[in-house]
Amino acid sequence: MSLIDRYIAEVGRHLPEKDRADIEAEIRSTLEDVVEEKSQQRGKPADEANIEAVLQQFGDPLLLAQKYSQTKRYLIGPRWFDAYVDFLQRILYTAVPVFMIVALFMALAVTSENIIVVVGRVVAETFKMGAIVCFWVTLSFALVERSDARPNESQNSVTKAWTVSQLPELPKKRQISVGEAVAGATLAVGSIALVALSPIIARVQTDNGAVPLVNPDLWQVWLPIFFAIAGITLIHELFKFKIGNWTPALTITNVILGLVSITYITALVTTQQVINPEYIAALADGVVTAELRNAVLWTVDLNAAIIISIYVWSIGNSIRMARRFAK
Amino acid sequence: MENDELVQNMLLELRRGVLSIAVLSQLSREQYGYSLLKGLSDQGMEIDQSTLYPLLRRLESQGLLQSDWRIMDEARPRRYYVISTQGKAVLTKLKREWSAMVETMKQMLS
Repeated sequence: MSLIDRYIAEVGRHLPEKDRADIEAEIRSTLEDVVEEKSQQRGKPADEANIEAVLQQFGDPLLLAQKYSQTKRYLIGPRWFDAYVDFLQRILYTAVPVFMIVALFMALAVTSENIIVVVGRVVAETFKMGAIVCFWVTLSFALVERSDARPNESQNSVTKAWTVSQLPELPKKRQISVGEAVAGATLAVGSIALVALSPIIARVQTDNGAVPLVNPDLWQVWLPIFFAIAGITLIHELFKFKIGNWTPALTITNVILGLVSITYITALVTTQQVINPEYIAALADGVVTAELRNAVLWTVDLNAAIIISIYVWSIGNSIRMARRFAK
Repeated sequence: MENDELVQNMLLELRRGVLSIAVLSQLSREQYGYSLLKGLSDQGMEIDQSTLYPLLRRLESQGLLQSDWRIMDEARPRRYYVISTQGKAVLTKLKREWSAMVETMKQMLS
Protein backbone atom coordinates (compact mmCIF):
# COMPACT_ATOMS: atom_id res chain seq x y z
CA MET A 1 0.00 0.00 0.00
CA SER A 2 3.01 2.27 0.16
CA LEU A 3 2.39 3.53 -3.38
CA ILE A 4 -1.09 4.64 -2.39
CA ASP A 5 0.30 6.34 0.73
CA ARG A 6 2.82 8.20 -1.36
CA TYR A 7 0.19 9.22 -3.89
CA ILE A 8 -2.15 10.52 -1.20
CA ALA A 9 0.63 12.38 0.57
CA GLU A 10 1.51 14.05 -2.71
CA VAL A 11 -2.09 15.11 -3.33
CA GLY A 12 -2.41 16.33 0.26
CA ARG A 13 0.65 18.49 -0.07
CA HIS A 14 -1.23 20.67 -2.57
CA LEU A 15 -4.55 20.75 -0.73
CA PRO A 16 -5.80 23.56 1.50
CA GLU A 17 -5.09 22.76 5.14
CA LYS A 18 -8.65 22.69 6.38
CA ASP A 19 -10.00 20.08 3.95
CA ARG A 20 -6.84 18.03 3.71
CA ALA A 21 -7.60 15.15 6.08
CA ASP A 22 -11.13 14.75 4.79
CA ILE A 23 -10.22 14.73 1.11
CA GLU A 24 -7.28 12.43 1.73
CA ALA A 25 -9.57 9.92 3.47
CA GLU A 26 -12.01 10.04 0.61
CA ILE A 27 -9.37 9.53 -2.05
CA ARG A 28 -7.94 6.64 -0.06
CA SER A 29 -11.29 4.93 0.27
CA THR A 30 -11.95 5.36 -3.42
CA LEU A 31 -8.54 4.10 -4.45
CA GLU A 32 -9.04 1.05 -2.29
CA ASP A 33 -12.44 0.46 -3.87
CA VAL A 34 -10.97 0.54 -7.34
CA VAL A 35 -7.97 -1.64 -6.50
CA GLU A 36 -10.20 -4.14 -4.75
CA GLU A 37 -12.50 -4.43 -7.71
CA LYS A 38 -9.69 -4.75 -10.20
CA SER A 39 -8.18 -7.59 -8.24
CA GLN A 40 -11.55 -9.30 -7.88
CA GLN A 41 -11.97 -9.14 -11.64
CA ARG A 42 -8.64 -10.86 -12.09
CA GLY A 43 -9.27 -13.28 -9.29
CA LYS A 44 -5.97 -12.63 -7.54
CA PRO A 45 -4.85 -10.21 -4.80
CA ALA A 46 -3.70 -6.72 -5.70
CA ASP A 47 -0.04 -6.42 -6.55
CA GLU A 48 2.22 -3.49 -7.15
CA ALA A 49 1.61 -3.34 -10.92
CA ASN A 50 -2.08 -3.43 -10.27
CA ILE A 51 -1.96 -0.45 -7.96
CA GLU A 52 0.33 1.40 -10.31
CA ALA A 53 -2.19 1.11 -13.13
CA VAL A 54 -4.98 2.46 -10.90
CA LEU A 55 -2.87 5.42 -9.78
CA GLN A 56 -1.88 6.11 -13.35
CA GLN A 57 -5.55 6.32 -14.19
CA PHE A 58 -6.12 8.84 -11.37
CA GLY A 59 -3.45 10.98 -12.93
CA ASP A 60 -1.10 13.71 -11.77
CA PRO A 61 -1.58 14.31 -8.02
CA LEU A 62 -1.04 18.05 -8.49
CA LEU A 63 -3.87 18.28 -11.05
CA LEU A 64 -6.17 16.26 -8.82
CA ALA A 65 -5.45 18.55 -5.88
CA GLN A 66 -6.02 21.62 -8.03
CA LYS A 67 -9.48 20.39 -8.96
CA TYR A 68 -10.31 20.18 -5.25
CA SER A 69 -8.98 23.48 -4.12
CA GLN A 70 -11.13 26.48 -4.87
CA THR A 71 -8.60 29.08 -3.91
CA LYS A 72 -7.52 31.48 -6.62
CA ARG A 73 -4.49 30.37 -8.55
CA TYR A 74 -3.79 33.78 -10.01
CA LEU A 75 -2.69 37.10 -8.58
CA ILE A 76 -5.12 39.45 -10.28
CA GLY A 77 -8.17 38.15 -12.09
CA PRO A 78 -10.11 39.57 -15.04
CA ARG A 79 -12.34 41.63 -12.73
CA TRP A 80 -9.45 43.80 -11.56
CA PHE A 81 -6.94 43.40 -14.35
CA ASP A 82 -7.96 46.43 -16.43
CA ALA A 83 -8.01 48.71 -13.40
CA TYR A 84 -4.63 47.32 -12.36
CA VAL A 85 -2.95 48.02 -15.69
CA ASP A 86 -4.57 51.45 -15.93
CA PHE A 87 -3.50 52.43 -12.43
CA LEU A 88 0.03 51.15 -12.92
CA GLN A 89 0.40 53.07 -16.15
CA ARG A 90 -0.85 56.30 -14.66
CA ILE A 91 1.32 56.12 -11.59
CA LEU A 92 4.41 55.19 -13.58
CA TYR A 93 3.83 57.91 -16.18
CA THR A 94 3.47 60.59 -13.52
CA ALA A 95 5.52 59.50 -10.52
CA VAL A 96 8.62 58.30 -12.35
CA PRO A 97 9.37 61.49 -14.34
CA VAL A 98 8.56 63.72 -11.37
CA PHE A 99 10.75 61.64 -9.08
CA MET A 100 13.55 61.64 -11.60
CA ILE A 101 13.51 65.40 -12.16
CA VAL A 102 13.26 66.26 -8.47
CA ALA A 103 15.98 63.76 -7.57
CA LEU A 104 18.20 65.10 -10.33
CA PHE A 105 17.88 68.69 -9.17
CA MET A 106 18.42 67.77 -5.55
CA ALA A 107 21.45 65.67 -6.39
CA LEU A 108 22.95 68.36 -8.60
CA ALA A 109 22.34 71.02 -5.95
CA VAL A 110 24.28 69.29 -3.20
CA THR A 111 26.99 67.44 -5.06
CA SER A 112 30.17 68.56 -6.68
CA GLU A 113 30.66 65.29 -8.52
CA ASN A 114 30.80 64.80 -12.27
CA ILE A 115 27.35 65.38 -13.74
CA ILE A 116 27.41 62.07 -15.66
CA VAL A 117 27.98 60.14 -12.45
CA VAL A 118 25.11 61.99 -10.77
CA VAL A 119 22.73 61.41 -13.69
CA GLY A 120 23.64 57.72 -13.76
CA ARG A 121 22.91 57.35 -10.08
CA VAL A 122 19.60 59.19 -10.39
CA VAL A 123 18.51 56.93 -13.27
CA ALA A 124 19.39 53.85 -11.23
CA GLU A 125 17.43 55.20 -8.25
CA THR A 126 14.48 55.92 -10.53
CA PHE A 127 14.43 52.30 -11.74
CA LYS A 128 14.54 51.13 -8.16
CA MET A 129 11.66 53.44 -7.29
CA GLY A 130 9.66 52.16 -10.28
CA ALA A 131 10.18 48.56 -9.19
CA ILE A 132 9.04 49.36 -5.67
CA VAL A 133 5.93 51.12 -6.99
CA CYS A 134 5.11 48.11 -9.21
CA PHE A 135 5.51 45.78 -6.25
CA TRP A 136 3.19 47.67 -3.91
CA VAL A 137 0.55 48.30 -6.56
CA THR A 138 0.57 44.63 -7.52
CA LEU A 139 0.40 43.51 -3.92
CA SER A 140 -2.48 45.89 -3.21
CA PHE A 141 -4.47 44.63 -6.18
CA ALA A 142 -3.74 41.02 -5.28
CA LEU A 143 -5.20 41.70 -1.81
CA VAL A 144 -8.21 43.50 -3.24
CA GLU A 145 -8.75 40.57 -5.60
CA ARG A 146 -9.04 38.32 -2.56
CA SER A 147 -11.51 40.58 -0.80
CA ASP A 148 -15.17 40.89 -1.69
CA ALA A 149 -14.70 44.30 -3.24
CA ARG A 150 -15.76 44.87 -6.79
CA PRO A 151 -14.60 47.50 -9.25
CA ASN A 152 -16.89 50.50 -9.73
CA GLU A 153 -18.47 49.33 -12.96
CA SER A 154 -19.74 46.04 -11.63
CA GLN A 155 -20.83 47.67 -8.39
CA ASN A 156 -23.21 49.78 -10.44
CA SER A 157 -24.56 46.79 -12.24
CA VAL A 158 -25.24 45.09 -8.94
CA THR A 159 -27.12 47.96 -7.33
CA LYS A 160 -29.08 48.91 -10.43
CA ALA A 161 -29.43 47.33 -13.82
CA TRP A 162 -27.34 48.74 -16.62
CA THR A 163 -29.19 50.89 -19.13
CA VAL A 164 -28.14 52.27 -22.49
CA SER A 165 -28.32 55.81 -21.12
CA GLN A 166 -25.31 55.02 -18.93
CA LEU A 167 -23.11 54.87 -22.00
CA PRO A 168 -20.56 57.68 -21.72
CA GLU A 169 -20.31 60.21 -24.52
CA LEU A 170 -17.50 59.58 -26.97
CA PRO A 171 -14.60 61.74 -25.86
CA LYS A 172 -14.15 64.72 -28.16
CA LYS A 173 -10.79 64.93 -29.77
CA ARG A 174 -8.37 67.41 -28.21
CA GLN A 175 -8.31 70.66 -30.13
CA ILE A 176 -5.41 72.05 -28.16
CA SER A 177 -2.46 69.74 -28.40
CA VAL A 178 -0.32 69.16 -25.35
CA GLY A 179 2.63 70.59 -27.26
CA GLU A 180 0.76 73.81 -27.99
CA ALA A 181 -0.17 74.36 -24.35
CA VAL A 182 3.31 73.47 -23.13
CA ALA A 183 4.86 75.85 -25.64
CA GLY A 184 2.49 78.61 -24.50
CA ALA A 185 3.31 78.03 -20.85
CA THR A 186 7.04 77.94 -21.57
CA LEU A 187 6.75 81.20 -23.49
CA ALA A 188 4.92 82.87 -20.57
CA VAL A 189 7.49 81.67 -18.02
CA GLY A 190 10.32 82.57 -20.37
CA SER A 191 9.11 86.14 -20.92
CA ILE A 192 8.59 86.69 -17.21
CA ALA A 193 12.09 85.42 -16.50
CA LEU A 194 13.60 87.41 -19.33
CA VAL A 195 12.06 90.71 -18.25
CA ALA A 196 12.68 90.09 -14.55
CA LEU A 197 16.33 89.27 -15.19
CA SER A 198 16.82 91.99 -17.83
CA PRO A 199 18.60 94.40 -15.41
CA ILE A 200 21.26 91.71 -14.97
CA ILE A 201 21.47 90.06 -18.38
CA ALA A 202 20.68 92.97 -20.73
CA ARG A 203 22.91 95.87 -19.76
CA VAL A 204 25.99 97.67 -20.81
CA GLN A 205 28.86 98.72 -18.56
CA THR A 206 29.86 102.35 -18.63
CA ASP A 207 32.14 104.53 -16.49
CA ASN A 208 29.08 105.53 -14.45
CA GLY A 209 28.08 101.91 -13.77
CA ALA A 210 25.75 99.48 -15.51
CA VAL A 211 23.05 100.85 -17.81
CA PRO A 212 20.08 98.53 -18.40
CA LEU A 213 18.44 98.00 -21.80
CA VAL A 214 14.89 98.28 -20.45
CA ASN A 215 13.90 101.75 -19.38
CA PRO A 216 14.13 101.76 -15.53
CA ASP A 217 11.12 104.11 -15.32
CA LEU A 218 8.92 101.24 -16.48
CA TRP A 219 9.50 99.37 -13.20
CA GLN A 220 7.14 101.78 -11.44
CA VAL A 221 3.89 100.74 -13.14
CA TRP A 222 4.30 99.21 -16.55
CA LEU A 223 6.41 96.18 -15.74
CA PRO A 224 4.33 95.11 -12.70
CA ILE A 225 1.32 95.18 -15.04
CA PHE A 226 3.33 93.09 -17.52
CA PHE A 227 4.11 90.51 -14.81
CA ALA A 228 0.44 90.36 -13.87
CA ILE A 229 -0.67 89.78 -17.45
CA ALA A 230 2.06 87.20 -18.08
CA GLY A 231 1.19 85.41 -14.84
CA ILE A 232 -2.47 85.21 -15.82
CA THR A 233 -1.41 84.01 -19.27
CA LEU A 234 0.60 81.22 -17.66
CA ILE A 235 -2.44 80.08 -15.65
CA HIS A 236 -4.53 80.32 -18.81
CA GLU A 237 -2.07 78.05 -20.63
CA LEU A 238 -2.29 75.50 -17.83
CA PHE A 239 -6.08 75.50 -18.18
CA LYS A 240 -5.68 75.07 -21.95
CA PHE A 241 -3.55 72.03 -21.22
CA LYS A 242 -6.03 70.60 -18.71
CA ILE A 243 -9.23 71.25 -20.66
CA GLY A 244 -7.82 70.58 -24.11
CA ASN A 245 -10.74 72.07 -26.00
CA TRP A 246 -12.03 75.57 -26.73
CA THR A 247 -14.89 75.54 -24.27
CA PRO A 248 -16.90 78.80 -23.90
CA ALA A 249 -15.14 79.76 -20.66
CA LEU A 250 -11.70 79.09 -22.06
CA THR A 251 -12.47 80.98 -25.27
CA ILE A 252 -13.84 84.03 -23.44
CA THR A 253 -10.75 84.10 -21.22
CA ASN A 254 -8.56 83.83 -24.29
CA VAL A 255 -10.34 86.71 -26.04
CA ILE A 256 -10.25 88.98 -23.00
CA LEU A 257 -6.62 88.15 -22.29
CA GLY A 258 -5.75 88.81 -25.95
CA LEU A 259 -7.52 92.18 -25.99
CA VAL A 260 -5.91 93.23 -22.71
CA SER A 261 -2.48 92.23 -24.01
CA ILE A 262 -3.00 94.10 -27.29
CA THR A 263 -4.17 97.20 -25.44
CA TYR A 264 -1.22 96.98 -23.07
CA ILE A 265 1.38 96.61 -25.81
CA THR A 266 -0.15 99.37 -27.91
CA ALA A 267 -0.26 101.76 -24.94
CA LEU A 268 3.26 100.77 -23.90
CA VAL A 269 4.96 101.41 -27.23
CA THR A 270 2.99 104.55 -28.04
CA THR A 271 3.27 106.33 -24.68
CA GLN A 272 6.50 104.98 -23.21
CA GLN A 273 10.12 104.76 -24.17
CA VAL A 274 10.67 101.03 -23.80
CA ILE A 275 14.36 101.10 -24.58
CA ASN A 276 16.44 103.07 -22.13
CA PRO A 277 17.74 106.26 -23.92
CA GLU A 278 20.91 106.09 -21.83
CA TYR A 279 21.51 102.56 -23.11
CA ILE A 280 21.35 103.77 -26.70
CA ALA A 281 23.63 106.62 -25.83
CA ALA A 282 26.09 104.31 -24.12
CA LEU A 283 26.14 101.99 -27.11
CA ALA A 284 26.57 104.88 -29.55
CA ASP A 285 29.33 106.47 -27.47
CA GLY A 286 27.21 109.53 -26.72
CA VAL A 287 26.47 110.41 -30.35
CA VAL A 288 22.77 109.66 -30.78
CA THR A 289 21.56 110.67 -34.21
CA ALA A 290 17.90 110.97 -35.21
CA GLU A 291 18.42 108.03 -37.54
CA LEU A 292 19.57 105.78 -34.74
CA ARG A 293 16.67 106.83 -32.53
CA ASN A 294 14.23 106.12 -35.34
CA ALA A 295 15.81 102.76 -36.02
CA VAL A 296 15.38 101.75 -32.37
CA LEU A 297 11.78 103.00 -32.32
CA TRP A 298 11.07 101.14 -35.53
CA THR A 299 12.48 97.90 -34.17
CA VAL A 300 10.34 98.16 -31.03
CA ASP A 301 7.23 98.95 -33.08
CA LEU A 302 7.88 96.06 -35.45
CA ASN A 303 8.20 93.62 -32.53
CA ALA A 304 5.02 95.03 -30.99
CA ALA A 305 3.20 94.65 -34.32
CA ILE A 306 4.28 90.99 -34.63
CA ILE A 307 3.16 90.20 -31.09
CA ILE A 308 -0.16 92.00 -31.65
CA SER A 309 -0.81 90.13 -34.88
CA ILE A 310 -0.15 86.81 -33.06
CA TYR A 311 -2.73 87.83 -30.45
CA VAL A 312 -5.23 88.77 -33.17
CA TRP A 313 -4.72 85.39 -34.79
CA SER A 314 -5.05 83.64 -31.42
CA ILE A 315 -8.35 85.41 -30.70
CA GLY A 316 -9.77 84.57 -34.12
CA ASN A 317 -8.53 80.99 -33.96
CA SER A 318 -10.03 80.37 -30.51
CA ILE A 319 -13.43 81.71 -31.61
CA ARG A 320 -13.36 79.58 -34.75
CA MET A 321 -12.39 76.48 -32.75
CA ALA A 322 -15.03 77.24 -30.12
CA ARG A 323 -17.72 77.24 -32.82
CA ARG A 324 -16.47 73.90 -34.09
CA PHE A 325 -16.36 72.50 -30.57
CA ALA A 326 -19.94 73.58 -29.86
CA LYS A 327 -21.23 71.53 -32.79
CA MET B 1 -5.40 16.45 -36.26
CA GLU B 2 -5.97 20.04 -35.26
CA ASN B 3 -9.71 19.59 -35.56
CA ASP B 4 -9.56 16.52 -33.36
CA GLU B 5 -8.13 18.58 -30.58
CA LEU B 6 -10.73 21.30 -31.03
CA VAL B 7 -13.51 18.74 -30.95
CA GLN B 8 -12.04 17.17 -27.83
CA ASN B 9 -11.95 20.50 -26.05
CA MET B 10 -15.49 21.39 -27.04
CA LEU B 11 -16.79 18.01 -25.96
CA LEU B 12 -15.04 18.48 -22.65
CA GLU B 13 -16.81 21.78 -22.11
CA LEU B 14 -20.12 20.33 -23.22
CA ARG B 15 -19.73 17.42 -20.83
CA ARG B 16 -18.72 19.60 -17.91
CA GLY B 17 -22.09 21.35 -17.93
CA VAL B 18 -24.06 18.14 -18.25
CA LEU B 19 -22.15 16.25 -15.56
CA SER B 20 -23.70 18.12 -12.64
CA ILE B 21 -27.17 17.20 -13.86
CA ALA B 22 -26.16 13.59 -14.44
CA VAL B 23 -24.65 13.30 -10.96
CA LEU B 24 -27.64 14.92 -9.25
CA SER B 25 -30.02 12.63 -11.11
CA GLN B 26 -28.23 9.50 -9.89
CA LEU B 27 -28.14 10.46 -6.24
CA SER B 28 -31.76 10.15 -5.24
CA ARG B 29 -30.47 6.93 -3.72
CA GLU B 30 -27.37 7.32 -1.61
CA GLN B 31 -24.14 6.10 -3.15
CA TYR B 32 -20.43 6.30 -2.54
CA GLY B 33 -18.06 7.72 -5.11
CA TYR B 34 -16.92 4.61 -6.88
CA SER B 35 -20.39 3.04 -7.13
CA LEU B 36 -21.68 6.28 -8.61
CA LEU B 37 -18.83 6.29 -11.10
CA LYS B 38 -19.61 2.75 -12.18
CA GLY B 39 -23.31 3.50 -12.37
CA LEU B 40 -22.70 6.48 -14.64
CA SER B 41 -20.26 4.51 -16.75
CA ASP B 42 -22.71 1.61 -17.10
CA GLN B 43 -25.26 4.03 -18.51
CA GLY B 44 -22.74 5.37 -20.98
CA MET B 45 -21.65 8.51 -19.14
CA GLU B 46 -17.88 8.12 -18.84
CA ILE B 47 -16.29 10.42 -16.28
CA ASP B 48 -12.76 10.81 -14.97
CA GLN B 49 -12.19 9.91 -11.35
CA SER B 50 -10.28 13.12 -10.93
CA THR B 51 -13.32 15.04 -12.15
CA LEU B 52 -16.07 13.24 -10.27
CA TYR B 53 -14.78 13.54 -6.70
CA PRO B 54 -14.05 17.25 -6.76
CA LEU B 55 -17.44 17.75 -8.44
CA LEU B 56 -19.22 15.85 -5.64
CA ARG B 57 -17.48 18.00 -3.11
CA ARG B 58 -18.41 21.19 -4.89
CA LEU B 59 -22.06 20.18 -5.18
CA GLU B 60 -22.04 19.43 -1.48
CA SER B 61 -20.54 22.80 -0.62
CA GLN B 62 -23.31 24.39 -2.69
CA GLY B 63 -25.85 22.59 -0.55
CA LEU B 64 -27.17 20.34 -3.32
CA LEU B 65 -25.79 17.14 -1.81
CA GLN B 66 -25.35 15.72 1.68
CA SER B 67 -22.67 13.25 2.67
CA ASP B 68 -21.76 10.94 5.49
CA TRP B 69 -18.96 8.58 6.33
CA ARG B 70 -20.65 5.26 6.86
CA ILE B 71 -19.91 1.57 7.14
CA MET B 72 -22.25 -0.67 5.19
CA ASP B 73 -22.23 -4.42 4.67
CA GLU B 74 -19.30 -4.67 7.09
CA ALA B 75 -17.00 -3.11 4.51
CA ARG B 76 -14.59 -0.22 4.97
CA PRO B 77 -16.01 3.18 5.86
CA ARG B 78 -17.02 5.10 2.74
CA ARG B 79 -18.40 8.50 2.10
CA TYR B 80 -22.00 8.24 0.95
CA TYR B 81 -23.60 11.06 -1.00
CA VAL B 82 -27.32 11.75 -1.40
CA ILE B 83 -29.26 14.61 -2.95
CA SER B 84 -30.58 17.27 -0.54
CA THR B 85 -33.99 18.95 -0.57
CA GLN B 86 -32.46 21.97 -2.24
CA GLY B 87 -30.73 19.67 -4.69
CA LYS B 88 -34.06 18.09 -5.62
CA ALA B 89 -35.62 21.48 -6.31
CA VAL B 90 -32.64 22.49 -8.43
CA LEU B 91 -32.67 19.20 -10.30
CA THR B 92 -36.36 19.60 -11.18
CA LYS B 93 -35.66 22.98 -12.74
CA LEU B 94 -32.56 21.73 -14.52
CA LYS B 95 -34.46 18.78 -15.96
CA ARG B 96 -37.07 21.09 -17.43
CA GLU B 97 -34.42 23.34 -18.96
CA TRP B 98 -32.55 20.36 -20.29
CA SER B 99 -35.62 18.97 -22.07
CA ALA B 100 -36.30 22.34 -23.66
CA MET B 101 -32.68 22.60 -24.74
CA VAL B 102 -32.66 19.14 -26.27
CA GLU B 103 -35.86 19.97 -28.14
CA THR B 104 -34.37 23.19 -29.48
CA MET B 105 -31.13 21.52 -30.52
CA LYS B 106 -33.01 18.73 -32.21
CA GLN B 107 -34.85 21.22 -34.37
CA MET B 108 -31.70 23.17 -35.11
CA LEU B 109 -29.68 20.18 -36.10
CA SER B 110 -32.32 18.42 -38.18
